[in-house]
Amino acid sequence: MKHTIAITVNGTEERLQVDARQTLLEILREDLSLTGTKQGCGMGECGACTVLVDGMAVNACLMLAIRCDGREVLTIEGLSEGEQLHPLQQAFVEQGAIQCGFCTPGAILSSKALLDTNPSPDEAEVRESLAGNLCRCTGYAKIVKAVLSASKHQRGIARG
Amino acid sequence: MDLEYYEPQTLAEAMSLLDCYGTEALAIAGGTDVIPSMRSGELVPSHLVGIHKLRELTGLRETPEGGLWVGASTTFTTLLRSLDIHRRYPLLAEMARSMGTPQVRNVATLGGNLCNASPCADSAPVLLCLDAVAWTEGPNGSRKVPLVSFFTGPGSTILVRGEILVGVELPPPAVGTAGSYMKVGRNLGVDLAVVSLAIAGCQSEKNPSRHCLHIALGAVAPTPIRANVAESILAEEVDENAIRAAISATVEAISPISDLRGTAEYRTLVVANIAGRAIRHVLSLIP
Repeated sequence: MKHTIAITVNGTEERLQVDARQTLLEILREDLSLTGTKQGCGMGECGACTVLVDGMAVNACLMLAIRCDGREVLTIEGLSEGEQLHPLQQAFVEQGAIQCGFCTPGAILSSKALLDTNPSPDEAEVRESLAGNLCRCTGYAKIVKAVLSASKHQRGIARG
Repeated sequence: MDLEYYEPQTLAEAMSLLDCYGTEALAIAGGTDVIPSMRSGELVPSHLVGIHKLRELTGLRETPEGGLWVGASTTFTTLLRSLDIHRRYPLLAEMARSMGTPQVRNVATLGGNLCNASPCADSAPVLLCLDAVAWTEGPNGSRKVPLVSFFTGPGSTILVRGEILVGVELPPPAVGTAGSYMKVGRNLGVDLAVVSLAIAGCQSEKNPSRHCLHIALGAVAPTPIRANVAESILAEEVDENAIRAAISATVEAISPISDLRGTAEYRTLVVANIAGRAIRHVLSLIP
């Protein structure tokens, strides 16, 4: 049986017919064509499918779509303002923290969840927040550097 | 196969759904164990009952005895962020921090971790050494079962058809309780435990010159276990001979298997090693 859910994705409310078995990852990629969220392991281990649900980083592959009724989802597509990249995206580009790019959307969203609650993390906190995002190009050092740089940048903006 | 999903508003409704559909139904809280198992075909429920929002399963409350009641749908992130838990049950916070990834901790629940009943369930050894009591509600009424009797084998618990784990009660921590939690995996984060061990210890209430240590282990037997014989040895004496005897007794208590994460021989060596380290560490912290 199909269930109707109302879910806000990147600020837009969507009404969808979902099957109880469908995951959030499936509806993002298949129904909403938001393919920035990647499918990696499908077991909640690699973090390539990380999105924010009500501001919290979750593995979209482990979340049933039906459980997202009434909730707000942010994917990588919802980060930039038009052509203007989000400070985290800008920092990833500037620091070369993007190699093959497959882990990048998930890593950026995990980092956003961190900076939203802790605007000035130290390196250990950045590494801990990224523990659920595997990068098989092993570009971790640059990813950590990018997050620290984005945090500095955002604090600079906040101070004016 | 068709799958139906329910989100009951009351505990009674949830119990009656689970009772009605029996083995075809599965309770789902965070889903971080259930969903991968459904995808792999290990679990094939036709009715999923979402219990994460039930009021009876939520919250952290001080008990009249001065202990803490933790609702089954408490996430690991909540455990990690609770100041009360940090202050009074630091072992529980330490365990929560080592469980899974931030993404998993945000949705995975304590009750789910226990009901999945994996021999390597991260929360079990710490809760066992804190003498936790499982609170359940079922068609035949409510039960309070010491957690040590809750697990009956890999993936199985005492829960009967229609019965739900609603929470876990922790007795008040004894004054001056010290603890140690060790989780050995193939890497620092994310991985399942190859061996996990938790010890909580304090001065004996009856005789301040004696000690009371609780030792629990995970991933080395069909269920998480307490090392009772080792505990009795250390209750009598804590000199070097007694510590060595307690380590041997801990190794005697385990019955590990070989799997992709480690061989039985390796697990045995690790237990001997970390049991000694943890016992000595806890003893050094007890006044």
